[in-house]
Amino acid sequence: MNTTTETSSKKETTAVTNGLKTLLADSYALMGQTHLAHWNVQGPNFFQLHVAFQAQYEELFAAVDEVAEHLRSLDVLAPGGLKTLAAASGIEELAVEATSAKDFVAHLIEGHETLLSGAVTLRDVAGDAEDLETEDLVIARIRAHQKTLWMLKSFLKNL
Amino acid sequence: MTSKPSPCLHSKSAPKSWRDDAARIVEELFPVTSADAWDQLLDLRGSLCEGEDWNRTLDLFLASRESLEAEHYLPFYRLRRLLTESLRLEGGMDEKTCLKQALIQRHRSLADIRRAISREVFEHDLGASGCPPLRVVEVETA
Repeated sequence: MNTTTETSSKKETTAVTNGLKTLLADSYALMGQTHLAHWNVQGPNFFQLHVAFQAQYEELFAAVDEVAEHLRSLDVLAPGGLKTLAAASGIEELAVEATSAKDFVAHLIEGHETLLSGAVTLRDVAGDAEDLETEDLVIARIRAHQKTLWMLKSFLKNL
Repeated sequence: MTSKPSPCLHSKSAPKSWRDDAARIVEELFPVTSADAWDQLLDLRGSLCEGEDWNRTLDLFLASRESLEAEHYLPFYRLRRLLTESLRLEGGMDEKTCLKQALIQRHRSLADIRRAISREVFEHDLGASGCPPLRVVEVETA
């Protein structure tokens, strides 16, 4: 392998691991926001949403672990700690105040959209780097977020 | 009806991309709403793009929301967030949070908002003259 190819390959690997760190931070932040919604949702749809939000944050918790352990398999330290992850995440936080069920759902939709957009970019970066394992993991995350988005958006129809 | 909306040309505040974002959200409503709503949406979009009278913009937003939000909650949530981040209500009791709170509630017009604030002022005995005329202004960005 010549020097130019090596440098290019190193750049691609760094782009992949940086993307995975962002995916980890965003997933953790979204898990926190979903947990917040699970606790504070009120109204006639309480039982339905309380349970749905729990399923969603549990799914995100498993995803966070999978992404972090994949980073370790690439010999990169996984970022952690609330401050570190919050600083690295692009997910917006809701103020802790009375919020309607519909607004919780809309807020989480925006969070999943942000995460999905970053994941799509990471999938392509991993594809360019021929890192099939990362690409496979990210495709699974994209599918999970697309499914959650479908469910959340369906909830908001004709309420 | 209807020609494609012209580009958003807000010459006086060109760098403020929140207007473009808001206009785009409104544009996305055209293909998913009936033609009956398009005039209202065109007015709202025009006011967001080029308007200088934010009271009118807010009234147009509230009127469109009243008729369309039941089927299109998400775009109106996004618009509400953009408006509360970018505009401010002068003349209410707490100017910092007033617009956000007013838009969370189901008011149909700026006059409705003023009536609600006047009622609150009266109930809390905060002033004999009620709420002064409200004015919506754009938040100045650094």
